[in-house]
Formats: sequence, C-alpha cells, structure tokens
Amino acid sequence: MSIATVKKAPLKPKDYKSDVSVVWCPGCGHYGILNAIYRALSEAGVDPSQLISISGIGCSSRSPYFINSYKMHTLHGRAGAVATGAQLARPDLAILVLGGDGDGFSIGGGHMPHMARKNVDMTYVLFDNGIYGLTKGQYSPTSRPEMKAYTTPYGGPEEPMNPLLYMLTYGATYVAQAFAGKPGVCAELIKGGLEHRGFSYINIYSQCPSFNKIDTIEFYRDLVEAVPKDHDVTDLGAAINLARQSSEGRAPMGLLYKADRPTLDQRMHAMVEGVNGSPDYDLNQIIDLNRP
Amino acid sequence: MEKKDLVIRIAGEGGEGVISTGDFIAAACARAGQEVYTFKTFPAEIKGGYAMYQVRTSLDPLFNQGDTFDILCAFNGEAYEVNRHRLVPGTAFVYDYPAGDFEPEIPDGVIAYPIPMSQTAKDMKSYRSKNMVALGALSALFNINEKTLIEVLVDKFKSKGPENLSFNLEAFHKGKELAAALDKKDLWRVADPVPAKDVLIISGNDAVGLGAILGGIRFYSAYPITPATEIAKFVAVHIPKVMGTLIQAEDEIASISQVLGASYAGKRAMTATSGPGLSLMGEMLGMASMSETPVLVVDVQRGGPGTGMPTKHEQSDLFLAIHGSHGDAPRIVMAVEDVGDCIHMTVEALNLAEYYQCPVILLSDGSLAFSTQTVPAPKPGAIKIVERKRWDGTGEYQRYQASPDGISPMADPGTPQGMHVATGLEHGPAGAPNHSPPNHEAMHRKRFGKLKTVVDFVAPTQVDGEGQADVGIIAWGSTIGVVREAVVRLREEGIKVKGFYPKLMYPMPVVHYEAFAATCNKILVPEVNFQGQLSHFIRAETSIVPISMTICGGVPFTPIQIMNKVREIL
Amino acid sequence: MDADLSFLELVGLDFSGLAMTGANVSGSHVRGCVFAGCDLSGLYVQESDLTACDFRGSVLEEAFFQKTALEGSLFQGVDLRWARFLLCDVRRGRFVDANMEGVHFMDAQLDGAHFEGATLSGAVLRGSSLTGVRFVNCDLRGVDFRKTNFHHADYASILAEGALFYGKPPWGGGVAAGGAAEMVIFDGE
Repeated sequence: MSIATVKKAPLKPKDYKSDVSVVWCPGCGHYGILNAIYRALSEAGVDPSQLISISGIGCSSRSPYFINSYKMHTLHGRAGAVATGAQLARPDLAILVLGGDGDGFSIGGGHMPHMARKNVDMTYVLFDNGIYGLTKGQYSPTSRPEMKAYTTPYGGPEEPMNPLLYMLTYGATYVAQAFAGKPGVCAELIKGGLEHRGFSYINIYSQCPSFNKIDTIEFYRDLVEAVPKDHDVTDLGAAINLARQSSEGRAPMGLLYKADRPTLDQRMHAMVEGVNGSPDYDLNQIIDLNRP
Repeated sequence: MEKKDLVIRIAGEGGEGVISTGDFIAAACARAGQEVYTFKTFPAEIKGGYAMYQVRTSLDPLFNQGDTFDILCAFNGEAYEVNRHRLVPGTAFVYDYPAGDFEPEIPDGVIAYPIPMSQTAKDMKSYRSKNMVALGALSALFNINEKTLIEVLVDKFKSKGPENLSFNLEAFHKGKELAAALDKKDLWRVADPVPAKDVLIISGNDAVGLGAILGGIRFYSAYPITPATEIAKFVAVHIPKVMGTLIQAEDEIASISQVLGASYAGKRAMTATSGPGLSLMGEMLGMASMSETPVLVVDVQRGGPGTGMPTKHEQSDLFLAIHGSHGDAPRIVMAVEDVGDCIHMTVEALNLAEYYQCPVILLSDGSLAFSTQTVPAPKPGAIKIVERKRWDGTGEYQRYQASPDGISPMADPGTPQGMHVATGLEHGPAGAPNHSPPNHEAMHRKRFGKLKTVVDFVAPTQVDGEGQADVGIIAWGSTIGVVREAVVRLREEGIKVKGFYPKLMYPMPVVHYEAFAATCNKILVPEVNFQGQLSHFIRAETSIVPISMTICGGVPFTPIQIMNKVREIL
Repeated sequence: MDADLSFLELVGLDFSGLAMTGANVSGSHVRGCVFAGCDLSGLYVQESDLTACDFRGSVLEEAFFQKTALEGSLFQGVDLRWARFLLCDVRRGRFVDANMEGVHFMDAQLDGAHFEGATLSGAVLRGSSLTGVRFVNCDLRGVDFRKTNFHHADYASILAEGALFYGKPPWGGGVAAGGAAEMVIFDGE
C-alpha cells in the first residue's frame, strides 16, 4: 500500500463496518477473517475514503459489501485484474483484494502469476476454505483428495495446489499464512500486508461448516505450525522450504517472506519522468510526428 | 468519365522494401499537395512471403483504394503471378528484368518497362538498394515528384548517417536513369505538384492511437492481436507524455478488467483488440453495463470465426459488438468509415463512454488498420472533451440514484463520503443487491433509457444525395468509402441513387433509417460478411426490407462491384 | 486487549475485572468461568465451550459467538447490543433485563431461556428454537421471528410493533406484513 494514504486516523475496527449485515453461514470462518480485516485497517490507520476493496464472486467475495470503503464486486476470477487497473490509475490509494480459493486459483488463475511478478501494490487476502461454498460444495484447487464433494462423490481425483509455494515462485514480495481460528494473527499479517509497498499475499485457512466437512477448525489447528522465531523473512529459499511443508501435513503460520522490489506503478512513474510527462504536454508535438 | 486519380501497386517479397517504397511514394505525393489513400497486405509469415502496397493518389478527395491498379511494379515472379490476371490493356507493368527470378508473358495492350532492379543492386553490392532502384524508375516513368521524394528520403535516411543516405540516393538515381532510357508509351502520370495541405499521413491504427491521446486517455491496457496491435504501439510511445499508463495484460479478459478498474478509479481508460479478444471480453462488458462504468473497446475486425483470417479484412463483428454479452447489456456501438474517423470518432467514443457511463465499442477493420491516408491535421484546441458527471459532494450519495436522464453522478475514490460499490449484481439505488422484479425492471429502464439521447449526442448518420432515388445504398464501416465513389459514378451514368451512412450502429437511429428508405424504391446493403449482419438489424428494428449484398473474401469491395449490383437490381 | 485465548483449557477460572476487548477464543474449553466486570466488547468466540459461564456485570457489545456452547450461562443486565450468537447453544440462558438491541441469534437453541424485562428491539431470531422461552415484559419491537417456533414461548406484557413473522402471532392480532424487502439478499451469484 502506498504510505501516503495512511494517516493515523482515530478509527476503531467497528468504524470499518458497513451498514450491510454480514450474511455467511453460522459457523463460517470468514467471520473471523473479516473481524481481522477490520482490526488491520484500524491499526494501519487506513482512511476508508482512500481504500478500494475489490472482489470477484464467491462467499468470501461478498466481503467488500461489509467494509466501509470504496468497493467493487466484480466477476468470478477477475478481482485481481480489476484491482491492477485501479491501482495503476490511482497509485495513491490503498487496494485490498478479497476472495476465495476457487475464485483466485481456478477461474482467476490466469491473473495470479502476473500480479505477483509485476509486484502490483495491493494486499490480496485469500480466504482458503478448500471448497466452492456459494455453489453448494464443489471441490476447489486447494481441496484435499480425501474430500467427497458435490462433483467428487468417490473422493477427489486431484492433488491440491500449494498457494504459498506458488506465490513465492512467481515473485510476490510479501507472503504470509494464518487460519481463521487465530483472528489476532490474521489481523497482524493483514496489517503487515497493508503497510508493505508491493504485492502482498495472505493465505488464510477458513473452515466451511456447510460443505467442507473435513477441514474443520480442529484440523487447521493441528495443521498449522508457527513460523520459527529465527526464520529470516528475506531468505526466499528458507521461505520456500517452509511452504513446502504443506505436502508433509504441516503448514506454516506467520510471515514467510518479505522483499523490497520496485512496484509496477513506481516503474510506470519512472517512464513518465523519463519522457518529461506533463498534464500540459503540447499535443501538437505528437500530431506533427505524423506529417508526410 | 475522365480518370483523375492514379493507382500504383508495388508487390514483392516481404523484407524487400515493398512497404517502405509505398510509404515513400505516399509521403512524396502528400507533400506535393495530393490526396493519398493506400492499401496493403502483409504476408502471414513473419519473414518473407507476398507483400503488396497500393498507393492511390489524386488532387481530389479519395474514399477508397480504387477498383484496380493502373501501374504494377513487380519485384519478383510471385508478385507477377499473383497480379497477372489484372494486367488489362493500358496497364503499365514495371518489373525486375533481366536477372530477376522470372520472365513474364506480356498481355496485349500492357505496356512493359523491364528494369534490372536486382542486377543494379548486385552491381552496387547491396541487395537492400533494390527498392531504391525501383523507386527511381517509378519516379521517372510516372512523374512522381522528385523534389518531394528526395526530401522524404533525406528525412528517412539522415539519421542513419551520410553514407547510408548517399548510397540510397545513388541507387535512386540509377533507377531513374534506367527508366529514362526506355520509351514512355503509356499515359499515366501523377499530377504536377500544388501547394501542400495541412495534412497528416497516418494509418488507421495509428489514428486510433492519436485519437485516444487527443481524447484524453490516461490508462490503456493492451494485449497483442492482429490487426489491432499497432494501436498499442502508438499509445505506448505517447501516453507517458501525458502522465498516463499503458500496461500489457496477460490476456484480453485482464485487459478489459484493468480498464474497468482504472475507469472506476476515475481515469479515462480504453483497450483495443480484434474479434477474438472482443469475444473474451463479453462477460466484463456486461459488468460494465451493469455497474455503469465507462469503458472504450476498439475492435479492429478481421476474418472470423475461430482464429479465422487474422490478416484479412472483414466486417463481421457487428452482432458480437451489439449483443455480445449475456443478459440485456446495453452499450453504444459505432463504426468508423476512414482514417479521419479513426481520430475523431475515438475522441467521440471516449466522450460517449464517459457521459453515458457504459461500454462503447468502436469498430474499425482490417483494411483501415494498415491503410495510410491523408487527413486534415487535427487541432488540439478544437477537440471537445466531455467529462463524466461527478457527485458534487452534497447530500447523501447514492451511486445509482434515479434521475430524469438516467445518468447518476459518479464519485472518484478518494472523495470523502462518496464511498459506494460498483457491482455486477442487480442492485438498488445505493448499490445494495436487490433482486426484486420491480427493481430489475426499473434498473433496466434506467440503463437502456439513458441511451435514448445518444442519437442527439453524435451525428448518427449521413445522407448522400437528395430527392427520390431508384436505389438507396446503406453501408457501414470502410464500405462507405467505396459506396461514396460508386454513387458518384452511377449518377454520372444517369442512375438515380442515394447513399446512407450510419456511424452510430447501436442504439440504432431507426427514425433516420426509415426517413431515408422512404425516399428510395429499393434499399441495397453491401457489407463484407457472410450473414449480412447489418441487413439483419435493419430487418429486426425497422420496417425496411433490404437487398443484402455480401462478400467475404478477405478484401474490401471495389466501386465497380457496387455499381454492377445497382445496375442489376434497377 | 485482543488477547488470544484459542485452543486452551480454561475451565473454572475467574477473569473478573479484566479488560478483554477484542479477545479471541477459538476451540477452547472455558466452562464455568466468571467474567464479572469484564469489558468483552468485540469478543470473538467460535467453536468453543462456554457452558455455565457468568457474564453478569460485563460488557459484550458487538461480541461474536458462533458454534459455541453457552448453555445455562448468565447474562442478566449485560450490555449485549449488536452481539451475535450464530448456531449457538444457549438453552436455559439467563438474559433478564439485558440490553440486547439488534442482537442476532440466528439458528440458535434458546429453549428455556429467560428474557424477562430485556430490550430486544431489532433483534434477529431467525431459525432459532424458542420452546419455553420467557419474553415477559420484553421490548420485542421489530424482532425477526421468521423460521422460529415462536408459538411455544411466553409473551405476557410485551411490545411487538413491527416484528417480522409468518402467519398470526401468538400474542394476538393479525397477520403481519412481510418485511423481506428490507433485507439485503445475496442469492447464488
């Protein structure tokens, strides 16, 4: 997020609640993540009028409605691409993308690598519940094969992907993970993402009580393991090693990786400066280049 | 009728300098006060393959590339073979001989000018000078103004060093001498120079880029696609100068998504693509209709469907442009006639998108994309920029509040108290989801209703001719230019004919169509697609029963084709 | 502040007087604890066992409980405005004289709970079971009773203008007009 948008406004977490009442199933982990988002926005001091919350489609993609900010509820899978345009148009604003595992990694999978490698300055919070909830329980790219679901009555035929490894590989400059049973940790990591200048990715496991019967809050509690205290967050190799643990039945919780790299808008701005760009540029100079 | 124009076709192998030779002739003619209309085909191969550049020039305005050529300059045997059947009596034929790769059979009445282009270049120890030899010969044979031609060459080559320039000029003069030694037996000659007009010479794609910059865009998302890619190239060079951003996206879905995001953030934003890209954008265009977000998409049409014929001309995306999204998704669709339109209608399309807060699709086509034409130089001060209606900051803000004209003020992010949602869900006045039947109907009425005045915002159509006519021709896109000439020539034959040229394709200016049809006994609709797409819309939206005339061979109409059809249906 | 009390065994403890604003309790066992005088506003609790806890004298404004056992817990006189109890078991809970404006009890079990004298205006009880609940002397204006068995509760001396329900109400009077248009509904995007 661009530091210019942060002002130490005396806003409490509840000041970031919109007047739309939250409608998720009772028992859903998303409530905890949303709470964490309110808290992170408050602690980072984001001015609601300087924030655009952007989502695609899915249970978690309803989140912008519940946040007091500018917001876009777009199409399935397209939140990141829309956010890229908004960020480049207004690099002075904070951009928060909220969405799920199916929205981000399945239909929106074509956009994910590019936001990361281009280092678009935004905070992407992915609510990872390993299921398509809104369409009543189909398996997603992060579902475990042992999950029987709507379209996998005999169990899943596929291996799940590893979002952290993916993001580290494609060059995200802030990669973290937590689970909805620890909203305090979630808030701390989201706040860090908001304050990071660059593409921040925070993967948050969230239980779906309605359709994902195997990834319960107890399952996540036993799965996650705090990132070791001596972990060097600037060491990409060490971060990748931590992220790889998921395939061994453990998942790191905390900040894995953080790097300072020029953001896409900073590089774009350098181009503007390189040609002495100005709002009053004499357009006749461009026209005259096309004379015979 | 006395022929006032001259058409020179240069053909050969891609990479031999066919395209630059054509560019030099076009620029020299424009500097000598001529109007120029060029037409070219590129090989589908990246290197090599058949390339063709045709220059039509006249002191009078030109509307199309002409029926055929008067002069053919063949750089190789393939160029001869491709164009052999068009070598009619009276045609001048300049070709590489001897020591070229072919020995042509010269049809009766064709005036042959063998020029040893390859041999001369070989003697100069540079194959690259072959086209300069040809250029010198063409200049001498057909009165292409030497003074302006050399000026053009100096401007082109001076940056590459004095040796390069003198070498090219030497080849040019050798070609001139070779031609001077031949007997001039044809009548073709370019008119003597007159004072140059205040013109640009620019391709359709560059003109869209120029229109975009003049129209105030600050964000452009690109994805490469033939034949639209050059628009992005032009914009990429110039947009940073006006503090804007061009980004190359990962696909066309991302392009239109980024445009939507940038527009929501308050910036004038656009993308350009061709049919396959527009197909991919369909869902997000519906989102723009639903969320009432201004976006401009320029579609440089090509042969379809599927991958189709990427480098070929077609006008077959009208159905897609007007109806290409699920649900009832209103948008504005316009089509350009020529390169001048590419500048001014891009500005207009941006204004329409901003004013009406909806997607605008501007249709160009493959023949205009690479056609360079002389167009009056635009004056930045005379260009009108219409901004979107913005919230004045008073009262409680509701993004989709009902208003008499259906247009609700927008609030740029960052505006205190202007927080709102742009949503693809059906929504009430404040943006909250609302799926009640009365609300859905009311919102449809708002989104469609606001477009009722578009017909007054732009000049939607043009009528060519007065009084009653036997045949009225309705044409759109670059076919208009062909019809303009056919109409003039048919009138000279005494045939009562009128033209009707819609620029606004949707919402369809039905009243204008009906009024025109009332003055014509028969209505002919020529268009370059298989289904007769405009004819379909005319049948659907008006009481007119048109005669559809379609071709889809990858090339534009010629005036003769239109004239023959009119004579046939009289 | 924002204390993390997740996945802990905290049975029978006395937290009286602590400021625990925004504390997080996930998957913990907190049976029989005392929170007298605690500031618990913004508390977040999920999938925990808080059976028979004593919240008297605490503040629970905007607290959030889901899938949590609260059977027999005591909330007499507590500030519970805008608190949410989603899919919670609050059977035989004691809410006498509590301020519960805008509280949500969606899909909760409230059988045998006592609300005498409580303010419940604007509360949502959708989908909850209300067998034997005592609403005597309650302010039930604007309460959403839809999809509940609200005919099995006691409504002596109540205010109920604007309450939402299907059919005839148990406290007498006619069929109420549905308030569905007031709700923001997302269905299957």
